[in-house]
Amino acid sequence: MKNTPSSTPWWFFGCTLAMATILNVGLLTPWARDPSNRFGGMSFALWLAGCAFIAWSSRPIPARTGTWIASLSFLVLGELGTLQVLKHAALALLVPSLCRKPLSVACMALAAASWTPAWGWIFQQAFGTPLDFVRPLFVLACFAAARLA
Amino acid sequence: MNSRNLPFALLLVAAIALSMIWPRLPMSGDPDPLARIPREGYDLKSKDVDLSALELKWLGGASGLKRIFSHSNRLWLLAVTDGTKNRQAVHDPTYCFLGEGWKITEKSQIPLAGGSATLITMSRNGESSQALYWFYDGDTPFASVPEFWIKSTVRRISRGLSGPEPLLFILRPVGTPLENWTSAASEAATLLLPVPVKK
Repeated sequence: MKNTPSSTPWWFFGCTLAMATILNVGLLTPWARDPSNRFGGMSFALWLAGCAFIAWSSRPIPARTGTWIASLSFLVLGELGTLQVLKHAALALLVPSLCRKPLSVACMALAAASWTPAWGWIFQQAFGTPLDFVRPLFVLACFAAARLA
Repeated sequence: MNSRNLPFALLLVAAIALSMIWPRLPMSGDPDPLARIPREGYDLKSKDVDLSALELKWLGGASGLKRIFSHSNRLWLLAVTDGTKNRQAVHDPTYCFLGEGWKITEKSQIPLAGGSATLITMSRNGESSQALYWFYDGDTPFASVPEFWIKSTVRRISRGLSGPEPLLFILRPVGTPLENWTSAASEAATLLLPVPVKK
């Protein structure tokens, strides 16, 4: 992904992040009520803190125009089709895009799977259990990989 | 605004406008597909059951019905959800059963009227129960949840031009579990498919 520190206005990132946050507020419901999402909220907090730490410790923070536009497209498609997973994907791409190294971006974007309700559904289908407790461990593993990248 | 900012501003305005206007455009399709589910027929009699306050809360604006009917000398409970007004109300029924404390002991697919349905056997505190669920959009019944997601998403993006909203059917026997559950449930389920709209 092309990094263009000076060509993309930061307010564009800010507005896209605000839109992603508003459209993903619905995540609070499964985190609070669904027994297979009990660790979702905790994983999200860990993920957010991990992204912020890596982005801050590897400054300068790049402006990834392509990733931001892709996130905005996912948000719009998710809203038009009422498909939550696309809105989650938008947030999962947008926040890690602040990390400087592409491999760190990939690791933290992958870690975002841990806070999505899709995690529980996929593991429930595959193994008959949502593997809820693995969520925070997965974030920590991805964070370690992102730091080493 | 300088020329550097203009394309991003236009992109954002377009995205926000599209997100706000498109979902409010009218959607074509049957306004009340639940009304086409047969109430009576050969060896079939049914009675509506009122939805509880909790069930209405879960539906969150979506339409739903619960009906007890008799077929083959047994009673069955049918629940149907139409997510046209709230797609989130329709999800993998396994979630609901797990939330009610059931443990899924067996899950398989069975043929149903040219398509397929998912058959679940579950247990809770020594008690055993069964459920059959499928989606139906007027073509053939299907059991796949991702297929439901795709169809309902494309339907919303195309404002109904891609086809009708798939309904979620959940069928459970009332009373003791059936021995020959598969064929009995399949036969009962086939009788419950909505009458097609005449074109």
